[in-house]
Amino acid sequence: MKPTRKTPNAPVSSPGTASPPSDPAQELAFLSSEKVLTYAGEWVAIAGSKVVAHGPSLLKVRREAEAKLKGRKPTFFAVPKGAATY
Amino acid sequence: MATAGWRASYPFVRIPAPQGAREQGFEFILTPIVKIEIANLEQRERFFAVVDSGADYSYLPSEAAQLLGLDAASLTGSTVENRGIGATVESRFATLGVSLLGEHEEPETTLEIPFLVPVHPDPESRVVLLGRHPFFRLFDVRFRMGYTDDPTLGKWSLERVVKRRDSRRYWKPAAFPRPANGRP
Repeated sequence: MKPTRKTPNAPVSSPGTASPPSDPAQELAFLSSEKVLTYAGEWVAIAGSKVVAHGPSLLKVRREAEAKLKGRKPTFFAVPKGAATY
Repeated sequence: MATAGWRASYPFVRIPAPQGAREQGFEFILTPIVKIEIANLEQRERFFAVVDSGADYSYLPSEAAQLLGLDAASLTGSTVENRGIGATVESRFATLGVSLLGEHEEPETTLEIPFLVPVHPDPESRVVLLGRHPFFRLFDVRFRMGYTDDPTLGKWSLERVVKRRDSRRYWKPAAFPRPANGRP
């Protein structure tokens, strides 16, 4: 559904931007896989069902992900280390 | 603001439990995670955020704030002692645009959410959280961890709050003084 009003900081992710669609379900499925434990305590950049970059520094992870994805936007997640009680 | 009547249902993400928890029979941690895009002016980034009913406010880790070009030290407003388990972090509020992203990465609903941002880098708190205020006021959030007979499955849902009850007819906690006319 379309937003009813755009706020000053409202993100705009419309077709035609440099970021083609990716399926969030695929990305969320990755977070449910055993592979995710490999990255415990790190930031991961996910595109599709793949980790395109990972590491302790989010800035470096983004830089690496952007170089690989060439315009596509990754989604970042900090994989909890141990049980998370936030 | 979010579109009235909007609703969405998500499977819990089953984050594999760490070894110690597995020894106690907990194989997975069912976690309500939603894909969002956060905007600070022209800067936009995407994160998986945990919907956290135990958090008073939403939380943006310092590294994520940095990525969005946000300098917490330069934010105006009072410093808030943000207490979590095991740590207290000095934080300030920053109101940012948030879109919940769906199947085709269209912003399904767009909101303004105040996030607590740590004033000093806090490497121990790295997960983007959507806390109760105001997220749970905008959405009815329903966790259904016992949705099936398989304890490793579950779903959760968001539904935009459309109709609010008349507060005069709403039960108030005992600590609230009753009005003189005795009506609730």
